[in-house]
Amino acid sequence: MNLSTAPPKRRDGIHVPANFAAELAEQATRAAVAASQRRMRMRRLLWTATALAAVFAGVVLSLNPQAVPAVAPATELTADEAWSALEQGDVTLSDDELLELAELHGITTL
Amino acid sequence: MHPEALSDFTQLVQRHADLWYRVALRIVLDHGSAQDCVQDASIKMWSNWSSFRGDAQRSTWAYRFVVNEALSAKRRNRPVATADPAELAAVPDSPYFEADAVLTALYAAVAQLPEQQRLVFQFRYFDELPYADIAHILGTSQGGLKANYHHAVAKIKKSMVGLNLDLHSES
Repeated sequence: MNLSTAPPKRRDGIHVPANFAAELAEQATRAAVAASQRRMRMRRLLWTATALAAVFAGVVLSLNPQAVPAVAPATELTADEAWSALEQGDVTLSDDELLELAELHGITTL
Repeated sequence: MHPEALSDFTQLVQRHADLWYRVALRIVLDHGSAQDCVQDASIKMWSNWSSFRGDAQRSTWAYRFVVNEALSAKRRNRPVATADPAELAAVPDSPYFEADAVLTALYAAVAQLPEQQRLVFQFRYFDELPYADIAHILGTSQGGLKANYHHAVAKIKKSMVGLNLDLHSES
């Protein structure tokens, strides 16, 4: 009759005491949970920082609209301004362009 | 994470820490590194807990993390190659390792095997894992594993002639 309470012999010769295994399990669990909490904290921090940056940018832009990079408006020239520029010799126009401008300006004879 | 998941994880670690330590120790051959492997593997298990697809048992899924962690640690701590592989440590350096002449010779013979054969032999002979589980852990086919085990046993028998060791080369 075998009354031995010793754990069975392992084929690999490694006999881990129950208290060591329990301690190892506790350490491993604690490390895993701590790492997961650290990861969650980092993620929360990153989200908060991103949200704060977005809010800050929104506030800055609403208080100082000039900070928004403006798209340069297209230059528009009235027929009068174009005619004046032509008279002052600031621009040279082809015959077709000249006729078109004269038409716009209501000039029938050149 | 759900408290139920944490409870399952804690139970898994408590139930298998002993086995994980032995598996890691046989690969890294160092007590401290084996403990680190169990801890690092547990961290990875917990962070991937929800990605478990259920195509194997949780314990097999967890075993794979330990093996991968131990193999990575072994590669990181690989000593400068010596001319004679027999000079490298073959038996675990741990207060919980006890071996007679036969077991020491077995470890020395196992250390000479290629990595895949060594792992298959250890999982099959020491841990008595079914081939299906080993295939899941190593990500290989069962046929290949059986062939590897057969080759490993043949090589070990050859290098342990005269020593009484009950090795069965089943496939």
